[in-house]
Amino acid sequence: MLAIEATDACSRILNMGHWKLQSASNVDVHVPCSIGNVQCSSRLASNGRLTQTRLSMAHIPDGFLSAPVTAGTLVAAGALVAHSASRSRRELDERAAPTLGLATAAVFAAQMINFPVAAGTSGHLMGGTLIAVMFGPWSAFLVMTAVLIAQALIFADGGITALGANILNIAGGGALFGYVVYWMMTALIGAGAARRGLAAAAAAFLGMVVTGIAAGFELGLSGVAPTRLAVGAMASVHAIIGLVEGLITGLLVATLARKRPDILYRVRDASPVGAPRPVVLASLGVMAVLVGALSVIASTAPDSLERVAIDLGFADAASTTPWAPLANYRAWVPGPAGVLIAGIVGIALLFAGVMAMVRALTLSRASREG
Amino acid sequence: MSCGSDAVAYGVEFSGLGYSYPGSGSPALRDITLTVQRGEHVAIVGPNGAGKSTMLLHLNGILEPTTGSVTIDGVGVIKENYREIRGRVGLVFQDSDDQLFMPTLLEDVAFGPLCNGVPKDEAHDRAHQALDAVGLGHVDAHRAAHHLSGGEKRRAALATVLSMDPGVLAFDEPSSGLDGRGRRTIAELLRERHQTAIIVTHDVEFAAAVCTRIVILDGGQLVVDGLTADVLADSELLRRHGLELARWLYE
Amino acid sequence: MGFKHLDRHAGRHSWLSEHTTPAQRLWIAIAAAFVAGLMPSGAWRALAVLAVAVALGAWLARVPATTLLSRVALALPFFLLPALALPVTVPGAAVGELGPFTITEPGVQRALEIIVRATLAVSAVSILISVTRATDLLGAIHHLPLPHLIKQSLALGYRYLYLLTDEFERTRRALRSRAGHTSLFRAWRGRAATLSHLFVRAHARGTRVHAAMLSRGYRSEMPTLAPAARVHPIWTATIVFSLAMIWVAGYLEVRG
Repeated sequence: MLAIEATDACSRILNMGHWKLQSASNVDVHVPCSIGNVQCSSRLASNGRLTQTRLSMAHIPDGFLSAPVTAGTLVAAGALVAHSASRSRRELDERAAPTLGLATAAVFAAQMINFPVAAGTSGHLMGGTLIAVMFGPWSAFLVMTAVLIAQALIFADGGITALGANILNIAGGGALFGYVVYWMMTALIGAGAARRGLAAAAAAFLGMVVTGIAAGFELGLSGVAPTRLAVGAMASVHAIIGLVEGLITGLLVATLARKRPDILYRVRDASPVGAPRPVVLASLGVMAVLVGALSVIASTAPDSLERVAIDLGFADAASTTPWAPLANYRAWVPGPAGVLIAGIVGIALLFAGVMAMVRALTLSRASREG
Repeated sequence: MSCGSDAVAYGVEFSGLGYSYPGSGSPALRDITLTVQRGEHVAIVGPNGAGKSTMLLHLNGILEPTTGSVTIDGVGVIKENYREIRGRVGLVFQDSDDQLFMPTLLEDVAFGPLCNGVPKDEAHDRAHQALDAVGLGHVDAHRAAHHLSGGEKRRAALATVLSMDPGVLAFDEPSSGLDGRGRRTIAELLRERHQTAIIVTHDVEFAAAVCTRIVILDGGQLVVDGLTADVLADSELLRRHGLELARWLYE
Repeated sequence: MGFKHLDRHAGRHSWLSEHTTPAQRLWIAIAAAFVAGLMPSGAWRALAVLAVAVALGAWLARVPATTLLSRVALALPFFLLPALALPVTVPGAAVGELGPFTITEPGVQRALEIIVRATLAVSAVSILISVTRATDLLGAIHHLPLPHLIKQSLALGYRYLYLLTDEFERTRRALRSRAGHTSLFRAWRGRAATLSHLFVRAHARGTRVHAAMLSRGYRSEMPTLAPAARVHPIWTATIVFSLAMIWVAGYLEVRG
């Protein structure tokens, strides 16, 4: 089963859309479908039964982003790429090319391994946060950028005009934001193997949620969907993928920290023992404010769609059917306050969960030793 | 490029070489003194973990000696000379895939010359000559090395250093993982070389086929240094250092 | 593990492969993606011209329609949902009802527009990459204004992806022969172990490759050979110029 899944996934990535005939006896048909920007590739066995569905984050294609969003994201991504290239070069010196090259290959290979979730559905690792934990945030940003460029130019997965946006979302969310969370968490809960695993799991999860929020924001600004709807849908869908990403990253980091701590990026200024309560609270506050600010900006930003409608003269038509569709979706999209509260509650719950697990681990170790 | 008899050959001298891996208590190499004449083919044999590969990595400054020194034809292997030394010494690693890292075979073979400032057109020609010299002239050099067989990869790895026109060739386990024919082809190729050759192996028969002199390294120390025939004749000595010969060779 | 299907049409001779180099094709692909992706809203006639141009390109490159369609089929569904939401979220004259939602005319237009733009961009890029070998594409990427580190990572990544996948294939087979009917927990643990092996091995190989590069005189710049074939860029320039003109026409169509 595992073999079939891995080769299947491998060809899914590399084969990009060829109807695929696998082995002599078994005919596999991929049925692509999509939920938000989660891509599912389902596999129909020869008997017509749906055997497996693969959850994976897809990249924004060409044609979805408006010119200003395209230009803005390309410039921002370009600046970040240039900066991380110089930082990575400084950190790794002449080792940079072989190290990052092999990391790029490893991320590609790792994305082919399917992790079963439930009911024939499986997910896989994206790898941004994991690479950041191994090689530092700037090198990880470059590795993920290289992966995204290869996917866009060699596999036609993700648009060329949307490359800037995809780099910001996926490399920025997973590698940079994920690393910041990991760094904060290890400073809070300590840097033992299990704790590093927990910190990485939380970081990978939040990084994925940020990826979703950013993608939703860009789509909203481009007028593909109302910003609030897009951000809400993308964030919630990415939270599901984020659970898989978090679990895999956590498991891997815990394993690597136990067996080969020497190959992990040295976390600077991480205190070996748990940080004092005020620090915990302060970081919680900072995170909450960040998420809150983002969601408030997202929900109060003027819907570019509405502006487009006015520009193109649909406003008159709209007045005759007074924003009927908008009224419909507004009914089930939470307002800024709702998003803010949900964000804060979510992060608080996450931190509380992590702290509880750390406490449980500490207690069990103490009872074993005492 | 000189692949034929006009190839340059440099002498190699290890004097009092000692090395300890950082963080490890006991030294990996202890007081190694060895002189290799120009054009001489020397095999360094010994059991696993004897420090053979570590010794090889000192030839071009991948590792820096803790004590003692290494010189290539009078030029010391020190940081200031790395540029020159790395053009003089061609190091072939055990895993050929480590050596063939470029997207195409041609770029792999041209990598050394290009890094040493050879113009692109000349590097291109040298790469083709080197591939011809190892019998890979017929292979599509614009494809990745992944498509080659194990023996072809080993020969391609040899070509990547031949293109640099080195005076010293150093090999780490050139016969490992090859089938009989692959092993013989490599042995023949190495025997033809007029450059100085230092071959690290635990394949005593292969060493005997290629080298006139055998040095035994055990526990980081040089314990035996003699002509191939003399060393092979002493089966007790070989056994003591964890080395075996097939029966047919000492009958 | 085969990657050959990537180069399925790469060896084929066509007008396009004879009159352009891989690097020139990459620039054409980028230009086409920009023109298609950033076509102004409502420029239907320009989109139609672009569609004809893409079809012409597919004919000149001798890429079969089935290959093109299957690539599009896989690239597009990703984002169909946000596009499909448009008919009910864009305000405007109502043309129908869908449950509690009202379908509007401008909404339907916008959704169609996005789908057409995305399809054309994916098709254009697919045509150009399916007539180019992966190694040539990597060579072409070297001409893009990207940091050296990224180009080097791509080149090395392509080379070692083969090896790493072969290695994990072996690990996976070993795991599989040990495990019979496994629980979800075990399945995850096994895969996590495979993955951690993969990353540890990749790290070790990185160190060894670095040593191999150093011993051949590497000093932080990866050299490249001059491209084998030189083709006059007149055709590339013509194609890129024509594409740009289609965009300008689209812009004028909406303005005028």
